[in-house]
Amino acid sequence: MSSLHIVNKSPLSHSCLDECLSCCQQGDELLLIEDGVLALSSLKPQQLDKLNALGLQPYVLAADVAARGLSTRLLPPFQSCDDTGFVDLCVKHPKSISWF
Amino acid sequence: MKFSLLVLAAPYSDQSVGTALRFAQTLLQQGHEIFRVFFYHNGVYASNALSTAPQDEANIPRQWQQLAQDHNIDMVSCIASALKRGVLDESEAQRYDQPCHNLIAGFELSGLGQLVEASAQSDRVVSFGA
Amino acid sequence: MNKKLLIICRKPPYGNSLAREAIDIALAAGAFEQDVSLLFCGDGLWQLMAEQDSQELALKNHGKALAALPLYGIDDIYVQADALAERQLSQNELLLPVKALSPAEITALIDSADTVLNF
Repeated sequence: MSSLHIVNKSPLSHSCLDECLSCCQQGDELLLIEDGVLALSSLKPQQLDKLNALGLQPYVLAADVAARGLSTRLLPPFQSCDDTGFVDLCVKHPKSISWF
Repeated sequence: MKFSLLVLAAPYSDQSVGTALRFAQTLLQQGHEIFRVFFYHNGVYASNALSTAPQDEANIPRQWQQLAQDHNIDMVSCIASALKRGVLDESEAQRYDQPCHNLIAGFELSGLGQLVEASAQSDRVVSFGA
Repeated sequence: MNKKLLIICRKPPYGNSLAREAIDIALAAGAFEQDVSLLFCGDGLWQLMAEQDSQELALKNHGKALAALPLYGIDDIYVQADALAERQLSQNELLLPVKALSPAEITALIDSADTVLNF
């Protein structure tokens, strides 16, 4: 049963993303919201490796990216997701797990 | 699909309260349904009727109240979290001999059983943390 | 259908009330006879230290709340094996009998849950 993992903390100043990645499995997806979108410009190489190894698609919440002035940093593998997309991801996966 | 939301974040301190509100509004627009929003930990401050925001900032408790009214949603603040943080309804204020009560209309105080029930009854539970 | 609820506890006790509040949810779920399991990960393992004495903090003893879990029918209590080692803790010095899980077993536990509350 796949999960949507929702992370709202910076990957550099908090362990949330690392803890999340250690619990993910193939088929899961990752949504970065609030300070989590800072990963667009500060993902650690080990974190990127882990994402790739799991084939984990990272989404970033569009409103949070725009608010933080990071729109120009939005590059693959990250994909933008609006609020409707957030709801759709929650519908798609049988459960969501919030990391805060 | 039937959703319940667990809100732990503190209004005016943590962004998650706003994220949760947008999420709730969006899922209702999409035709999904909300079984219950359960406010826990610092989230209960979102049910304080005395929250007074400056004119250029949103009044967060009133936003949730409006959502509850518009869509007839069950909004529950955890009674244990709320009493400790000074959010009381009329009967609790009487019971503890407090001079006033401030639970915003449209919310009710209840126990964690309401969260357990929400989790059992809903297709999805989404948490909005601090 | 009785849904499987998994509560993940990652916060150390006392510094923030979330550690305690997560346990309160577990106790409530137990009281309502839900199928609930607990997984202690990372710094959440510090919640399981034996001989906690919080008297001077004027805070309730967290260990005592955890000791009540079996009384509420909650016996599925797991810890992250890697986190034990990182903290120089061993399973048998914890205040409750727990099962240590490998990363693959943790993933499987999460996979089998219907709802996950993660603190």
